[in-house]
Amino acid sequence: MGDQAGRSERDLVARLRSGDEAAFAALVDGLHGRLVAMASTFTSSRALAEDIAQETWMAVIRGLPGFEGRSSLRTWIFGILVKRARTMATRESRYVAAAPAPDAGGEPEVEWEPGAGRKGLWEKSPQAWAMDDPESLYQEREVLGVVRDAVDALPPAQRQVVLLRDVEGVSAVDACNILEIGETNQRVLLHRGRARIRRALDRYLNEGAGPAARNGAGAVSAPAAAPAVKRTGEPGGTGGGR
Amino acid sequence: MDCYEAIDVMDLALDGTLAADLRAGLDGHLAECRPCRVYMEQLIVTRRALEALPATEETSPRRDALLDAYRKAFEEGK
Repeated sequence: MGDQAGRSERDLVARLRSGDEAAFAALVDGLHGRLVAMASTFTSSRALAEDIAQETWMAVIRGLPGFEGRSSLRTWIFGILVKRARTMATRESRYVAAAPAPDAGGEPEVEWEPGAGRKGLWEKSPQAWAMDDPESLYQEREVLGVVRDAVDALPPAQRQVVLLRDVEGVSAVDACNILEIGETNQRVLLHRGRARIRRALDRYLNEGAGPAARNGAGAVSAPAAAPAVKRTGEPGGTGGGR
Repeated sequence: MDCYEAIDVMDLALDGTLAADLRAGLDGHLAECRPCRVYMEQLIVTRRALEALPATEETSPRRDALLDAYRKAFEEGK
């Protein structure tokens, strides 16, 4: 993917800088929804998120002649967006504080309980997902719907990092620069965000939260009521409670 | 490496940026800790699913204005 992606990116930038309207239209069509999703992490107003995305495009148009391709096109555009979002959302005083709240989501942040940090001391061992073909998973609309919902439900700071890193494919260094956060903070937010999305997938795949739940995987008949109890087949099953 | 340390470096392993010595430590831990192995596999699937998220099919409601602005920017530049 690397070389090819690099080449097509260079082609795209060249076309954009030469006034190729079709290339610009395709960029807008492909990326606008993602810009709005990112803008929405800074404001609760859908209309404002749209305005932020629109302003970003205008800034992209103005900036294209000077864009030297030192960062990827996507990194550059999202960098512009985050700056706009900060100023515009602050102005509207609907700014969603993106400080790393210890736990803003209502669920316990630490889903894994590695006991005192020793081997095999998981209190609730994760139960394997029954998948004949992991690749087919990504083509199922319902699965992607579960993932999309889980992303939307993340606290803003986690959502920003997950969107940039895992959905847009921006590097850790670039994500830190764009969001103006430190490397450690970035790692923690990404870890927590991924953990929550993993848990959402787990609920769907293992606890049947959805009509197309896969069978197999132990096929416990007890629904989501007390999954933890069902799964203490691993060492360390003594430590219930906390 | 214990479970706590293993989980701590899993994200770097996912990104392919885990240092070689830590990678070896992680692999050693995963070889003998099934829960961590399952967890790591699930994180890999989770990440792949995030990468596979399709773009929402919404373009700008003011698309025409953007295309106008783009055209004008290049007409002026010439």
